Formats: sequence, C-alpha cells, structure tokens
Amino acid sequence: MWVKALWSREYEQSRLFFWAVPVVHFLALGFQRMNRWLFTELAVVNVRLQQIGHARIPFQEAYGNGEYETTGRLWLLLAMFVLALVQLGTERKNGSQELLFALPYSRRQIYMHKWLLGAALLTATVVLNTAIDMILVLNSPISGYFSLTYHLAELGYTWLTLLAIYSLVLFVGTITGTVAFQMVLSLVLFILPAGLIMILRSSLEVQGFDVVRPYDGDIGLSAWHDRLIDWLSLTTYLTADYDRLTWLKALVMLLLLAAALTCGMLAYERNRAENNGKLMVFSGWELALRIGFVVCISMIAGLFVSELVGFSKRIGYDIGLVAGFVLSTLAIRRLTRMRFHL
Amino acid sequence: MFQINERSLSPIYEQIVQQVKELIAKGALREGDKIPSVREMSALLLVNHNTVAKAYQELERQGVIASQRGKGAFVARTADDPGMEKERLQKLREELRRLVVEAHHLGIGGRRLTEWLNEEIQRYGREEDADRPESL
Amino acid sequence: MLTVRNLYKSIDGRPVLANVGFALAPGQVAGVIGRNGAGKTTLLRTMAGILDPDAGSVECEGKSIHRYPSVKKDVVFVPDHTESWHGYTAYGSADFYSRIYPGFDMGYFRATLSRFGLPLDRNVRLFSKGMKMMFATTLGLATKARYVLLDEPTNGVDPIAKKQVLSLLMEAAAEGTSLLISSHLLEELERMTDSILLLKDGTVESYTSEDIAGGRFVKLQVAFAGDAPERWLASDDVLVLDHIGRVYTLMLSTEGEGRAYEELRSFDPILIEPLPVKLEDLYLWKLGGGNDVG
Repeated sequence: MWVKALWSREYEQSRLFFWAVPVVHFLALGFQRMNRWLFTELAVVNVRLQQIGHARIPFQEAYGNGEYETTGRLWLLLAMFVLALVQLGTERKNGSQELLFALPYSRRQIYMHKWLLGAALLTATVVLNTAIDMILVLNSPISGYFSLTYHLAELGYTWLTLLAIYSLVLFVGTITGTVAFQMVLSLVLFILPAGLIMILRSSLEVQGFDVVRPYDGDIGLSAWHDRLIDWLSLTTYLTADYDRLTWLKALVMLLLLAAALTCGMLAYERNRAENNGKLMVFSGWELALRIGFVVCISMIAGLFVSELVGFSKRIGYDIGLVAGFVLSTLAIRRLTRMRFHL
Repeated sequence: MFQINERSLSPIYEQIVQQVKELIAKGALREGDKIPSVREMSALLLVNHNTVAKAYQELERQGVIASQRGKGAFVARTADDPGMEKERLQKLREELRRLVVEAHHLGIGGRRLTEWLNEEIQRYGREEDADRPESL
Repeated sequence: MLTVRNLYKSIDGRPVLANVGFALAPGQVAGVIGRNGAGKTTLLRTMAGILDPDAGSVECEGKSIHRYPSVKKDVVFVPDHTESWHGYTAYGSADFYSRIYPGFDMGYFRATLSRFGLPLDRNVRLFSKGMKMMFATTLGLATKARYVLLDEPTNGVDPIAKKQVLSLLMEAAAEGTSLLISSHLLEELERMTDSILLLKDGTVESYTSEDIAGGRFVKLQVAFAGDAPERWLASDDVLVLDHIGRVYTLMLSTEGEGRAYEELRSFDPILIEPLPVKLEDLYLWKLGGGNDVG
C-alpha cells in the first residue's frame, strides 16, 4: 500500500516550499511570542503582567486569547491552499497526471499519497511549532500561566481545521480541469454559503417577502440567519480565537474533513483526464456549476438593477434577473465548452 | 554494408539473403567470419527480427552460413556442401537462359554478353569450380 | 497477451474509439497508423490506463489494467513528450522508475545513454528534442516491461536520432519485448512491424506487414490503347494514384470476386503490370481522398 516512489514524486513537486511552511509558521507563532515576551523592555513586560493579573481569565490573557495561533492558521491556510493547487491542479497540465495514471498503482493509492503528504507536512509544522511555542512560554515571564490544555487545544483545532480545508481544496481540484479554476472555485466556496444566504434574503425582501428576524431572547444576539451564516462560513472556523473554540466547531470540521476526503477520493478515481483544461471534468459537476452560476448571477444582477432604477425596486429586480439569466446562461455555456491552457 | 531497397519487387528477406551472398562472393565476408546476430542485423537495417531470422534460415538452408549454438552464425565453407544444390543449379540455368533470351531480343550479341558476364565474374565469381565431387 | 476488447471512448461528445478490438502477442511488433485526430493517442492512453474507457476493456494476461492497475508493471507508456520528467535528471528519472518496475535494468539504461552520448546528470528539460525522445524510449525499454506502448517516438526528431530510436526498438523486439508503435513513418513501420493496426472512423483494422494487401486489392500499372474508360476509373473499386500520358498507376479492389479486374480485362489494355503493394498504398487506399472503399 505504501509506495515510496509515489511519495517521492509528490515531494519533488512541492519540495521548494515544503521547507518554507514550518519557517513561516514559526514567524507567525513562536517568533511573535518571543517578540512580545522576550525581546521587550522589562518595564513594558511588567505592565503587561499586571494587566494579566487583573484579567478575568489570566492565562487566557497571557496567551493573548490565541491571536498568534489564529494568525498562524491563516498562514498555514495559504500554504495548504497552494500545496493543494500544486498537487491537483498543475498536474493536469505538466504531464504529471499522465505519468502517474500510467503507473501500476490505483488512483486511490495516488490520491492517498498526495493527501498523506499534505497531512504529514501539516502535522509536522503544527507539532513542531507548538513544541517550540511551549518551550518559549515556559522560559518567558508568563511561564506561570503555562497551560498544556491550551496548547493541545490549539494544536488539535488548528490541525483539524487546516486538514479539512486542505482536503476541500484537493477535492475541488479533482473536479476542476485547470489550476486557475480550482483556485477560483475554492475561494468561492469560502464565501458561497454566506453570500448565497445574503443574496437570497435581499432578493426576497425586494420581492416583498419581509424576512422576519426573530431574536432568540438575549438582547443583542444576532438573528438566526446571521448565526447560520456564521456556522456556514469557513472563515468563522479559521479565525476562531481561543475562547471561541468548541467541540461543536471541531465536529463540523471533522465532518467536512470526512466528506471532502471521501468525495475527493471518489472523484479522483473517476478522473476524466481527457477533460483537462475545461472548467469541470465531470459532466454532473459541470451541470451543477452551470445552475449555480446562473442562479447566483441572475439574483445579483437583479439586486444590482433594483438599486439603479428609481420607480420600482421590484420591476428593476425583475429586469436585472432576466438580463442576468440570459447573459450568465450564454457566458457559462461558452466557458464550460472552452479549454484553457493555463 | 547492407542496403534495403524499399521499391524493390523482391521481399526484404530475399534482399538480405542476396546481399549476404554478394558480400561473400565479393570476398568481403570470408569463411568462418561471424555475421551479425539477428538482433544486431535487425537494429542495423531497422527490419523486424522475424524477417531477419527468416533470411538467416534461408541462408542456412542453402549452406551459405552455419550457426553454432550459443556463438552465432558464421560464413560456411562456400560451395562445400550447398544446400538444395539441385534446385538451385536448375534455377541458375533457367535464369541464364532467360537472360540470353532477353539479350537476343534486345539485339545484344554474344560477344558483348560474354564481356558483361566476364565483368561480373571479375567482381563476384570464382576462377575454378569448387574442389568437390562432380554431381551434375 | 495484451488484449483490447470492444473499446469505446467518446471525447467532447465525439466518438473517438468505437468498438476497437485487437491483441498484442508476446514479442509482437505492431504499428498504429491513421490520420491526425483518428484517435491513435487516445487509444494508447486508454491502453495505459490514463483514460478510462466508456465501455470495453484492456487486459494484460487476462486481467483488466483498469481494474487491477498492478498488472501495469508489464505495460509501459512512452508519450511523445517528456514534460513529466522536467525537473528530473536522466538518472533521477531512471531512479524513480527503478523503484516502481521490478525488472528495471539500470545497467541497460546507463549503457544506452552513454552509447548515444546523453549525460546522465543533466536535467531532462535541457535535452534537445531528439535527445528527449531517445531518453524517453530508453527509459521505457529499461523497465523491461513485456509491453511497451510508444506514441510517435520519432515525432520532430532529426534523421540520426530517429534511426537510433528505431534501432533501440528493434533490439528490444528481438529480445522479446512487445511493441505498439504509433507513427506516421509508413516505410519504416512496414518493415519493422509484424502487423499494422489502421485506425479509421473509430475502429481498427488489422493487417499483417508481410502481406499488406492481404488479397483485398492490387496495385497495377495499366496502359489503355484508346481512350481511358473514365467511368470505370471513377468507380468505387478503383483509385488512380497518378497517370502519365496513357499509363495509369492505380489500385483496384479484388473484393466482389474480382469484378473490377474482369471489367479492366474487357477494355483490352495494352499493359497490365502488377506493382508491389506498400503500406503507403494501403494508407492511401483506406484513408486517402474521397474514396471510401472498404
């Protein structure tokens, strides 16, 4: 099952930035910790320590509520994103896929090796940098606030979130035919659930359906749809500080990981290499893309025109909707037929 | 050394047979010389190895070459023991007759024909019959 | 035996392969010919498992290469480019393959490259086109896989490199490797191969290289005493290759109990001379012009 050659091939392809990832991660996490507590004037450190002493949850304050870990997560996101693009997107264009598929290994094996390389890189950098951070904290003025639970929670959560998103971008790579579109579609997925809900709500409002915003008791809590948007946005998970880490969030990421990995594997096994260069390599996904694209663009065009016309928002919306429908239908038809040589 | 003629009417294996025989007649290949293996000949001429093997079988059948197991094929002692002697001699006579008939129709006289024949003998022929029991 | 059974493959809604079937026996050398876009590369890529067939199968010793990819240890594909090795040195590529193909012969690889003067430690990207194809062919053959599929191994290669590549192939064939070579080099293919697979309209027709015409048609030089029989010359059974004055070089179907030939005899031509049938003639006969006989 374990094939050294496949591993080496994946490593060769991404070797250049492979070693950069732990370094960048260190600059975001350990290095920042050092700046704050080791390379700072004693007077400033003392002021900070006093603040911590007065805080509601002192150790949390000492750790900055996980702000460095959150920044680190964003840098790791960039790294894992690029890795997924290199592994799935570029292999369609540079002959790599042709080579791999002709080898005496199943596509499932090939995909697992790709994924395992990403997982190994992520695990290595997260474990290494957490260890460095723990050592730094223990040797800093805040050593008294050291919390193993804190480090392990951040480690586990960062690992799970990044692995889930990496798997998602890999999966997008298995159904898209070019690296550029893999990137575009992955980025769209980040904002799609939230964006879709907002567009839908605004559309309904223009059409006269007043969307009620039931407050759930506590004054100042956001409406149900705002919370829904929160739960559906990947950015919520990525940027969650320490006090926002919950088992439920971890569970959602675990489910995303399982779904993305399974879908990616299944799609990769059925990979349609002859469709490389098209937006989508599977006709089913192409249909989904067409529908999604037309629906979104039509509604956005509707909202846009409804803001432009003075006499009736509703009629403006309808005009925009129809125009958007026609234009987006024509555009996506052309786009899905083209072969890109990016 | 060897040249395959694409446009020739005769099949490639016959061309190989003919050319090996010509090289021996010219003295470029001598008795006991090793001839290229099927693999080498195939790569040299860019001809399928089955075709080369077929030519070598024919040469062996005619007693032009002899193969030694594990060592390859060698030029045999010429005319010592020609394979299929009767058929080949008969064919030789027929071809000679055909050439003379053709010369007749082309208006080529006996002297000129003999001149040409001598030229070819100079190039490929041997002076005396091979020293062996008369069979015809 | 590498067997292709009832293979179907459509790309962009266009049927490229439609019920393709043939078998490559151990030690056999087969050539794949066809017009550009006839599906030669698609066929080879499907046989290598790069593309999945819509229907049908490719079997190595009875086992589907798509279902059991491990049987591809004996099936190697040599594409007409070396893009996948850019970034590797020649030696690095061989090292990679040697970990995958159990029979990989590093000695052969090194010896062959040095015979052709290719440096082992240079990045493949920096090789010339001819060097690239020599390298790719050597690499494919060094796997010692029983079946090697080559997609236009001499495309864009100078005459000397071309001869070297083809020599390598002939040596490997003499040692028992089965080769499937897609190429437009009709003359070379004709004498290098045992059989020819002609791709046309998505299907494959097999011919033996020894008897290209196989009794299907003849090539003749014909001269007519009077006016040439225009109607007969334009018929579906006849393909005129050229004519100089009253002498015609033409191909003639011998199917349909030699009807066309009998008709020719009835014109009482002053010359009927058979000419040797070459692969190029078959190509023209099958794929040339608007003539769609057979």
